[in-house]
Amino acid sequence: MTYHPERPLIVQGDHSLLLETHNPQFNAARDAISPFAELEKSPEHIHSYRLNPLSLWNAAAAGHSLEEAETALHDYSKYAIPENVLEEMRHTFARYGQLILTKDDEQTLRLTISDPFIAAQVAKEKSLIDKIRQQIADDTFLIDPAQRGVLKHALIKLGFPVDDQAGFRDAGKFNLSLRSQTASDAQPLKLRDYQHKAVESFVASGSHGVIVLACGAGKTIVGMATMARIGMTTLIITPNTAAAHQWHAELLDKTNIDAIDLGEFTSSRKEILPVTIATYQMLTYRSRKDGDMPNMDLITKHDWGLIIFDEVHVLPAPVFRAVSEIQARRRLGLTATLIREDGLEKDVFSLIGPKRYDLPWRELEQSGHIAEAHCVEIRVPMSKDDHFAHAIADDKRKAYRIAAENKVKDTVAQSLIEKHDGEGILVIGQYIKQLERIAATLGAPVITGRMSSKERERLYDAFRAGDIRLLVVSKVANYAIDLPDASIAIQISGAFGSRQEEAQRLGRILRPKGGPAYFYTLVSDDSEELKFAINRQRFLAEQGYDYLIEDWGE
Amino acid sequence: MALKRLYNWRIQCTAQQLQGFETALAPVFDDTIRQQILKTCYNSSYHCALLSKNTLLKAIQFSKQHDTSVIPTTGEHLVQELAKHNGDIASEDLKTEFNAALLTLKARGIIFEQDSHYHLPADFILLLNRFREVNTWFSLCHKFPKKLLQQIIPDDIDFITARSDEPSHNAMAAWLACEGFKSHEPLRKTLDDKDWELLHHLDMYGDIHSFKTLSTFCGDAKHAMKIPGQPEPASELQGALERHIPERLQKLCLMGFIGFLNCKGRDKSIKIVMSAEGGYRLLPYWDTVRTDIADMEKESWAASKCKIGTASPWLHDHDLWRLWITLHFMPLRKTRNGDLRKLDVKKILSLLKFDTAEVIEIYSSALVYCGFLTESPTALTPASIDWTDWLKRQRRLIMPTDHNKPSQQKMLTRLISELPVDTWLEIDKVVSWLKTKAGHTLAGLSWHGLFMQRQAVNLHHLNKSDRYIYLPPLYHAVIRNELPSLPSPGWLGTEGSAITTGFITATGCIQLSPEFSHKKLKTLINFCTLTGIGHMIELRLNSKVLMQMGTDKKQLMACKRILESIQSPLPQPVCYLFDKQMKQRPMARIEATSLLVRLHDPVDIDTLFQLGFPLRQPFPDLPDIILLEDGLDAHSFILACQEAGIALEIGSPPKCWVEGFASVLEWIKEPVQRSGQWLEICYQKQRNVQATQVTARIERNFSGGSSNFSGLEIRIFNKTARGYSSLKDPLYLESKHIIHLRILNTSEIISSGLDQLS
Repeated sequence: MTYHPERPLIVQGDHSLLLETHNPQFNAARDAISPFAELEKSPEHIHSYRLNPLSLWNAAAAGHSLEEAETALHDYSKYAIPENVLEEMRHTFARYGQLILTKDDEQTLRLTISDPFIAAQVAKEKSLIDKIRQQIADDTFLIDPAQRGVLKHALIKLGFPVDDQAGFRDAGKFNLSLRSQTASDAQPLKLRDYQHKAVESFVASGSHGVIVLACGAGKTIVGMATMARIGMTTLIITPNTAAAHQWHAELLDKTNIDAIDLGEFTSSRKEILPVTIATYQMLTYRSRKDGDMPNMDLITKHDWGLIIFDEVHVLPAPVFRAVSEIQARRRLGLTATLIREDGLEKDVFSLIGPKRYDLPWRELEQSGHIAEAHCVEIRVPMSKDDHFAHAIADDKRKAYRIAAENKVKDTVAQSLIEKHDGEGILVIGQYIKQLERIAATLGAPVITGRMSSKERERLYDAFRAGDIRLLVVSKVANYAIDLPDASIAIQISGAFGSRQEEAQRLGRILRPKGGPAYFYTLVSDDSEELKFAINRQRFLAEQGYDYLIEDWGE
Repeated sequence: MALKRLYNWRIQCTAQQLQGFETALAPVFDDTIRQQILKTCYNSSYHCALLSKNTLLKAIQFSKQHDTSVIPTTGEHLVQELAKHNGDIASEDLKTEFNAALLTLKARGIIFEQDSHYHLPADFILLLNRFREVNTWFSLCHKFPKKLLQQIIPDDIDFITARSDEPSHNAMAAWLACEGFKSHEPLRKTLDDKDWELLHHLDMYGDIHSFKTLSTFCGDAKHAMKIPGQPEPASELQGALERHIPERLQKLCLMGFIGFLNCKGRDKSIKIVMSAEGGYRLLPYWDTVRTDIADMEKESWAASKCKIGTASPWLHDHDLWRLWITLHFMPLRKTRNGDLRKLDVKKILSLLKFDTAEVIEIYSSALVYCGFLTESPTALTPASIDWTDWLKRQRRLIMPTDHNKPSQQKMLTRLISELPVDTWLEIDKVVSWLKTKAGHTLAGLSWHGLFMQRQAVNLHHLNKSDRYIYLPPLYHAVIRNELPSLPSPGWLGTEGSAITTGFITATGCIQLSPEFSHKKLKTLINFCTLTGIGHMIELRLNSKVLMQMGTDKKQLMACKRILESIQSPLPQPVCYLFDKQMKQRPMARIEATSLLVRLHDPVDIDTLFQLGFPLRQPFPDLPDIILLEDGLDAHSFILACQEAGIALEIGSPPKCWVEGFASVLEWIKEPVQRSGQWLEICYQKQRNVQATQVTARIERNFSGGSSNFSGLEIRIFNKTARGYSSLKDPLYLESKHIIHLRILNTSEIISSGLDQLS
């Protein structure tokens, strides 16, 4: 039996890799396996990675060899490596490079397949027929550039990775650079080590892909650094107007871009300039329910050297489709939580590009780049009336709503606010009525989707400036809102078991402030809400966060 | 190699078979050939027959191209092949005769028909062991003309081996060898005329003196080998040789005496081998055996790399371990027919991600065979791992106990241990070799059975056609009586030094390394659910079970202590879970539904309050809606209202459930005789089995001093198209099995017809 108890890695037959975090060889092993294995979970004791075709092909595309991967496994594995894993790795690596996409001219791409069996299969595959313009030889196919993304997507689904050598369309040059200190307050500005690595791995691996960094870890700066590296016109797409304005302000503050080169394509302004910021909402706007989306041309018809998809995990379906048409453009996805309850994260990988960089949240916390966060779940009893209504509710959805809106939570929230008096506090909830009620009780302003963008930003600004220390916010503040001073989040209700929402809400208080951040979740005890709480916490638990449980029923 | 082939083509069969064989051959071969068939008997059960050289050569040629154990049913093919080497045999008449012969062979049970081919029985063709070789040669020289012998000994012979406990046999072997060497041109060149003449003298006249001398020499040499602390066997032999054999004959005799001196104590045996220069050298026995085996591996037994057709389950020992661990946490029950329950198999399949249910059947058979699983008529349950017992069972599988004599067992062990491992071998050849080696010592053993029977639990693999075997190194280890060292780290959990710590996350996930102690694992099955098992064993705390334990604080604390021994301190949420269960209190009766009533006449509200029931009016704008406080007996309330003349509108009939383990326990402990009460009861007797809700009648209620003895004996009544019918056997439920229950009211009993049932 091969057994090296001192080593940190376990390679399992299902292609998962388990890495013991307390092992002295942890860092070395992590560095060795991360080029070809995808990080799945990073809880406290054991991080889990997975060898999947995409991760192996990405490694191959980035110039890593099979031998490197095998050596890494052999060097760090505690036990003998299951033969099927090695065999699968060899098989998968061998697949890469069999299909090569090159550019004949602006109108024609050429797909060359070296394996005659794969070529025959591709020629006969029904799902590919409409994506191939013409087969000119047994092993050669001509492709329309517009089909580049969908063809690659379809081939990946069939298990055939394409080595895309067709290159990117070079758009107009536009150079900007990061300032050495911020324009607003003259703070020194330098890329952190991990930010630098993130940019480098994105550029080195073909300038298309996703960078995953925790909220507050400086994804925007990574985006700006990437723009500086690419040096071309850029479209930045954000989830909402507030986020668009944040990008606008950040670009002016941290880069040398001139305001006249920085455009905004939102409901209020429709500028298309060398660097343009838009929102997903604007792109998917249509006047009629079944009408076209004219603004989508901003993606498909304009020559952008780089498109940045901020919070790429919320990419709407129509944008997915549009992205498939712009495979000749460099694409950068930024997110903290590449999880979707609809399971479409795989589509993000295949259309925007694979994950290029990921760093566990807890590591960032340990290095002080994000705030040390404490998560506390508070079990709140229900009032008798609510309990009764919960018991006789027609269905679980109604029962959940009753539990979520439990009035006793108001009192608990108030106590927490008193406890953290003077700190930047966000009370976050799902239901407007509940938010308005608690805002009235607390005497705090409430921000919901009904509020105008202007008013919202005014309140955010006031919070940032310290004029307001308590904000009650709905899900509009779930992501892409930068509130550096917020250190306390009290979550009074949320969408059913959404892991992403949980993580994003925690993200609101992760900007390092010198002290710890507290994330309270109020959950009605013995209720439907409790059942969903466990699922909500899964992502953060997988990132190594513990939830302390406090019982406020006694 | 020609010699080996030649031996391969000797046919050994029972007397009856031999007789049938001869009869069958009669119409096929002419008298001359038939006369060349040897019939020698050495014991009651075995006979040897040796075909003539020509016949053998034909057969050898044929064997080169065809499966030697399978003859096309028509015989046509064989005839054609033989015709290539002998035109006469190709006549139509001979073909007909040959077919007739095949039919006769078939009729006499010498060959059998299957899949349009004739097959020779597994033990039909044997490779003779060396002892038998000597005997064969010995008898050969007495019964057959020397010319024939010269024919038989192939020209390309390098050496002949012979061994026997009988010195005369060895001497004869030497003599026979001389016969062979007379036609050996290189040898001829090494002998001077006198020696050559003596050789012929020995040959022609059977020189009795020489014969005796040789016999004495052999005896002395053998004796020399037995004396401990003597000089090297080779020099001893040389000494014996010098003492007994005239000098000029020594070289000759040594050359003639080529073979083994089969002295007991194999390590002292020697083998004399002709060197290329015509001299001789002496090799220790085992070196030569090893050389022999290595040669045979390379040239004779070894098959091309095959694809495994039937793999030994132990090839996948990691999966066996995974299944064994899984069965601690998930049931694998059997149907009345003895099949594994599909639902259980399906659940296990989805967890272990095996391809087919068959895999579970195979693995569970292997685990049952080796004693890792206990099989009862209803289920398979994990047992403790005992490697000594495992070894014993595996040895029994390899070496059947129908040969109980120690000498037989010893020989079988020795022979099997000589088989090469970690390579594919042709079964027929291996069997032939084993038969030849074993001789009559293991007569009657089903040699093919050693490799073909009980394959589902065996250690070796078979290829798809069942013609080749692969013996893993583990096979040898078992033969050598060594405790196994299986590749999967999971088996380390059986050892006393197995680790007992793991990781517990705040969400109640428990991660254990494969080498986690099995002993400790068994304590976790009571309150954990298996969520995954690759190398790592992944468990989740089963909060339901912990809730059940809430009524038994000692048990709950014991669970906590077990967890703390895995990781200390426990994450706070896990501690919270335990603390909460420790505080679990009986809640008496909880009216889960239908607590809301509406007064027909709101003015009755005052009367209602006078009844003394704790009531509330939850909706200020609807004063006629009344809510009863928790814990109230709704039936008493309704009865009281009826008696007071208060008309109520009830949304649905009140159902007073006793819910929660603590509440159920309190209810059972009430000093009330409950026999005959009708219940609607939801229970769950086993983990991972869905809870069942039934209508039942209480036969008896128990309430001992300890909660362990509190429970109900109920008789279940199932609803059918014709009403209710009772199950034959009563069911005993402990309080911890009961999730909730309620007593049926009289109107329910009457309306459902339960009152009509005895």
